[in-house]
Amino acid sequence: MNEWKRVFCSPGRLAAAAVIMVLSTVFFYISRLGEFDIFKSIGSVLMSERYYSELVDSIRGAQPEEAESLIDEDDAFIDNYSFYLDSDMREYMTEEEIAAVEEGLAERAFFSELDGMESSQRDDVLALLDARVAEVREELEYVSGYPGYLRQIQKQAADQSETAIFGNKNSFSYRNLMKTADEFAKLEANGVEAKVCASRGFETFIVFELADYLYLLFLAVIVMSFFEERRAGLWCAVRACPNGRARLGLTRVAVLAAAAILGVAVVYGVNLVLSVSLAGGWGDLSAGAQSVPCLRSLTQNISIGGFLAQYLCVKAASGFLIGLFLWCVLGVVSNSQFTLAVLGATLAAEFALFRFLPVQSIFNPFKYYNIFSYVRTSSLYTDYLNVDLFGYPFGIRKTALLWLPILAVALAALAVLITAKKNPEGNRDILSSVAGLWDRLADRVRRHLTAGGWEVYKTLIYEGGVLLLVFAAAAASALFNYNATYISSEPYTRASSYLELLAGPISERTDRYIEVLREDAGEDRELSAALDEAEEYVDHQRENAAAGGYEPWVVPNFRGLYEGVFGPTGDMMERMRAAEAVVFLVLLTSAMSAFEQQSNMVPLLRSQKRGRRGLAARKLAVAFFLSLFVFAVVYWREWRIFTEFLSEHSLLSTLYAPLGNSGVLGSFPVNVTAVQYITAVYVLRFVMLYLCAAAVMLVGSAAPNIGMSYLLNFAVLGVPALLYALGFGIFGFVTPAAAISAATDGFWSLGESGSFSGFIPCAVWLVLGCAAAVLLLRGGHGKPKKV
Amino acid sequence: MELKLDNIVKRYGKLTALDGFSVTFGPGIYGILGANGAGKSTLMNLISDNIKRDGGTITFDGEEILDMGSRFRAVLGYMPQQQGVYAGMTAESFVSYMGRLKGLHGKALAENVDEVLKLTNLDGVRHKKVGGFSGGMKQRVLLSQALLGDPKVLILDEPTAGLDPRERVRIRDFIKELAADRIVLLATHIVSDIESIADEVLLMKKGKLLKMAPPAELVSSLPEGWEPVMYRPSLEDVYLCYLGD
Repeated sequence: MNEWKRVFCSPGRLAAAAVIMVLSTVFFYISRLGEFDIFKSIGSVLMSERYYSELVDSIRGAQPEEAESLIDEDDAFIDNYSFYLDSDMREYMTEEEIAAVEEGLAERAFFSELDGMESSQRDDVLALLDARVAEVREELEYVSGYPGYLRQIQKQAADQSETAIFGNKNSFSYRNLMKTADEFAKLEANGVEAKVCASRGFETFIVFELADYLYLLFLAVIVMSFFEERRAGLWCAVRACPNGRARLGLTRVAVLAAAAILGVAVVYGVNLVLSVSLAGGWGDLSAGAQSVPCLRSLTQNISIGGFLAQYLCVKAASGFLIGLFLWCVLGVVSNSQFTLAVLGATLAAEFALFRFLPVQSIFNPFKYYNIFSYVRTSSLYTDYLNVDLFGYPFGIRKTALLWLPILAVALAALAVLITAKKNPEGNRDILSSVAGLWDRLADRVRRHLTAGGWEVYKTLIYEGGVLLLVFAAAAASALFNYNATYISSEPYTRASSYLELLAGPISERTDRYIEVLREDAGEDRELSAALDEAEEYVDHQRENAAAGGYEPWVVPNFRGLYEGVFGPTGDMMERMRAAEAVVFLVLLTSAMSAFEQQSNMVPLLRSQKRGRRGLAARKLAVAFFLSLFVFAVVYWREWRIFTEFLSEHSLLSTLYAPLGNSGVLGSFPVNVTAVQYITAVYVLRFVMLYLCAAAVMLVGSAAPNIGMSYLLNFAVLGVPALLYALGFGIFGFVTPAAAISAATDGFWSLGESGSFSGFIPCAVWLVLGCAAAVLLLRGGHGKPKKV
Repeated sequence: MELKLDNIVKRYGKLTALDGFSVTFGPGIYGILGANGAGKSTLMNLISDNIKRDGGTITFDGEEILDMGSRFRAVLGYMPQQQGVYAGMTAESFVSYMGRLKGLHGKALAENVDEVLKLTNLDGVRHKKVGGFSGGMKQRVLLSQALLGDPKVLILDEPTAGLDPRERVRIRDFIKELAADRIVLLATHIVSDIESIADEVLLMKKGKLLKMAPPAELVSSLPEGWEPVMYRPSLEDVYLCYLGD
């Protein structure tokens, strides 16, 4: 088969490329908008971005003072317009202020679009506009400060060079200072300046780190395809073909080069276009690249347009180099069983050097002349750094770019040589010897494994579960930054502080304590008013408890903690977290049933005494623990934030208060404590998660191999969950993420309206999940292929 | 001990793989001969309950095997034709794992694993990964797991395919030893294997049982004037005579 067609038309690789592109785009979209804005509708976000673009246009070319005053005007107008729209607040506005707003509206056509909107959406848009104004202000401050920054660096270098430590003219430190000062002086002399140019779109595009790792993954997928004949036992056959050696190697070099370019288009091109579209256009591409804040240290005199062209070309060339590097490393491994392990170990070692080697270390060339310097190409442009080579400073960017073509040619030649000369048989295989030793030792342990233990072992070791667990834990930790905001910005009042002191069961002691506090407050009117408020709350709690038949407690719920974590305020975050959990489960459990199909083991397993229901039950048990793991990594931080906040205010004991005392959850119809309520929410979430795992396994059992199982599960369960989390409510009908997040909604709405309707998604998935589990138990873990 | 198949029907769409197939097996070795597509593997898969039948009953000692479920599988040793193995497992791990699924554990499992690995001459490579094995070695691994737990019914689909002559003879002799108190069903294309060890041979053609008799009887049933392939008539001639086109 034509090598080009084999590599680029494989359904598995096409699917992998599609998944990489979707992940890159989704996460870029999230990072582009920030943790707050992703919960707003796309329409509102796009409107705000258009406004951003218009505001930038309006200040472009203006003097800093004039630009600042224009921004101030818009900022004040948005504030006043918010008041103007709110009938309650409008009463407090003077006639002049109202007239000013109306006059401003006539001048600002943009705001007329807000007229017909629902108030909630309009509030969203106004909040977004506020954020955009702040961003333009930051951009303006950066632009105004850039000349000072250039002078400051030169002055700093001059000052330091006069100190004794850096004064030795033959030392690297002195030369480095001089080179730094010289390069930044040249920028100033050449008239390089920063301009206001809607740089936010470029900035997010350049610093978005995840795209680099997804691009690396894409390249790894392509390079792994060069070793398919080895894995399939066809290495000898391929080498016996007339074009199966050097010519094949040369073709693959070309394929890799094309893949590197294609990957740049798929991963970076899409993000750049998305970013620019959101920012309302390409803006002024002729402005200096230093107009983008993250490129302030760039010492190259180049426009933004020129920079982008160069950057994408360097990305593609770096991708080619990375691919060649991986190819050469894997090429020397004779035993195809170790390719994945070697690939992982090589990348882990390079990444460890890149990330953890101290800058001051004498080994720092290993840090900078590292494959990850080419993976994180943006750092070559955003960080100004000279590396010590034989006492002379060399700019990391220039040297890395100089080495790029040299290394690419050398590695391409080496890769072709390996393809042409490496024999399939008769090689010294150190890895196999090491693995043999390991297997000899591991067999001693494995022979004692129970049937259940074997399933755990298979999942974790043979199906790569351990790596996926690590990945899930790391990803959950990273993703939490996007949606960690729970506690509202409601001010912490004096009354809140008193309630904190009074927290606990209400008794005569509470009344005595209030009296003591009153004595302490003396004639202070503010304190007395706060105490009045607290006392009123205590009386209110007593009355409610008497009516409800439970023990009264003081349970301060200030700053919306309960609503944020277990109520409607946290709804979108719950969706995000549920989608995250579903995606992790898909990752961890997709291979569990498909592994047997892929290994062609189903007929053999089904003819064993415990090879049907017993095996399926054990797999479901393993899925239980995997679900527990996913549940823990996704939700433990939420629980930690909640309890840490309570602990910080000495309120942990209030978790044991009857729920009726917790104002926002107080209407819950069953008399339980807060901790029992929270436990019920978590248990229901977990049950839904586990049922989702059963669904994943069932889908996987219908797939002929692991790749197809991942594909099917992502399509059927993963993608709808992500879309649901991003605000496409329609997908709530088809994703278990809706059931997982509905655990919170269901209990909440049961308390609010006495209706069980919030539990409908849970009921649906309870049926579907149980049906999946029953089908798995009845059908074993798959069906044998047709004879 | 009796394994009885009565009026078995199996269809794949319009194709009838087994058509009213009836046979009764007692202890002994039964060689199953038939051209590709004759229904040998279908028969094996039906007895191991890996595919659903469209009609008929299969009983073991008078009890329907579907009703027996795991009790029947506890006395069954099955070696499929496809070389499905967990490539990442070592030979010892693979056989141990299958032993667990057969319900063996503790010392009995360890001893059984050691025994079958020695019998199939895999003891020296027990710590090597099965994925790196040749086809013949994989055959032996699959045979090892089929022998675990002293099965009463042993179904061997092409057990000697890919083995070198010495191994083939060794395994063949071993199967012969096994047959004393169990039912061994042996499907193979290697006619000489069956000829030397089978108590009875089943000739299958297009899903039907054509003949069932001891090898010598089948050879003597060759029509007069049949020209043997070698010097004297053998089971190969029987195959060519009855199953050849």
